[in-house]
Amino acid sequence: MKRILLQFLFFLTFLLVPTSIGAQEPTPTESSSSVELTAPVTATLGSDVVVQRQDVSQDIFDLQRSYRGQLDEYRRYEREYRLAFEQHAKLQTLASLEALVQATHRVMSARILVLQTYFRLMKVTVLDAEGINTQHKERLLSVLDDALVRIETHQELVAKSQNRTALQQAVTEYEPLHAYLVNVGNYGQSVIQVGRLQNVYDNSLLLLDDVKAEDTTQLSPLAQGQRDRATQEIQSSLQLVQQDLLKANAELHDLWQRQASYYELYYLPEIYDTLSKVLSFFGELK
Amino acid sequence: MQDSQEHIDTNQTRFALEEPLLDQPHAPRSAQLSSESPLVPLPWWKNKKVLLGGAIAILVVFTLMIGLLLTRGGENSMLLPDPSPTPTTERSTEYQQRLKTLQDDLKKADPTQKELPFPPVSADITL
Repeated sequence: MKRILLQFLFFLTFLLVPTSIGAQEPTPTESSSSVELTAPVTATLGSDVVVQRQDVSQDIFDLQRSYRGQLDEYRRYEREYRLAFEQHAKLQTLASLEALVQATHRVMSARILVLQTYFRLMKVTVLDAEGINTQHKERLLSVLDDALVRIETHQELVAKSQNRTALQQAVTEYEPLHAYLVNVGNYGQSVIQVGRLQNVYDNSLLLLDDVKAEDTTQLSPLAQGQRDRATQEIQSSLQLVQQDLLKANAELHDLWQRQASYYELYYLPEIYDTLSKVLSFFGELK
Repeated sequence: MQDSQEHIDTNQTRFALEEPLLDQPHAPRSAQLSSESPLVPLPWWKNKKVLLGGAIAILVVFTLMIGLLLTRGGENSMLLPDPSPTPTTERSTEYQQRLKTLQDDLKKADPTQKELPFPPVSADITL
């Protein structure tokens, strides 16, 4: 009797288990349908922003690719120029001189293309970057345009220089231009870097305001204490960052005027470290 | 002779159907019982086989009903809408996204990694 009942219960177990599993199967369908519903809404809400960002990102990507290719080409021409220079120094013949003039022309043209793409890339990056002080951004864009105009003028001069004398003039004119372009590059790099740190600071400040505005009455006293401590740390750290960023923004103009190096903003790594600490404290408030 | 046979027949100490036991095959016991002592039919509530069969049938029906109820319950729960995320969960997700964006932005702002270093072009190209 017992054996029959046990066998029967065993049979029933097999009968019921697939039924209960089958009831859970449609769960993934539900989640996927909810994703399908929410995705277009998100796309509609953020369509303008996304399209705008994609365009700029594509520009930056294309310019970076061109820059790498042009830099490779420049390096190849520079090697050829060095060889031609050594050959002419040894041989001092008209043929070696002609080869040197041709090699110099090619390397100077390649250098112009590299510089043009570099400053265009910097311009697009500045336009896309957030956090840059408006005054610095306008000044930098103006400076970048001026640099591009100067490079174009030099390009025209090189294009016209088909003999040794004309090319020598273009070589001579490039020397002060190179110093100016290096200064523009340093200035642009500094403005972008300070702007990026400023952007993190601004958004951290907004996040802190939202954290402070939250209702924390449900938290336990221990959690409340930890939260208060993290909030105070964030606040004091952000005050330090604010002072350093004000200093950096003030010095950016001097940096350009004095044609000083980007590395004179030696306290930027300190700002970076403090902001990194701030984000760690924000992580504790999850 | 005839007298002697009658004498034998009248001997009451001898069994009339007495036969050697091993001379003929055994009839089945049930046949013997049915022919000799037929069973009296029992009422169903006293029959163990009927009671066992009934109990099993009731158990099967009961189990199937439970199974059906469970299945229906699962279907009904599938029709229910997803539990709406609590404000705490929404807040947590949004907070984490903002924090992640900040961390990504900070990585880009690392001053030791120059984003756009001046191109390594030579300034001393002369003739």
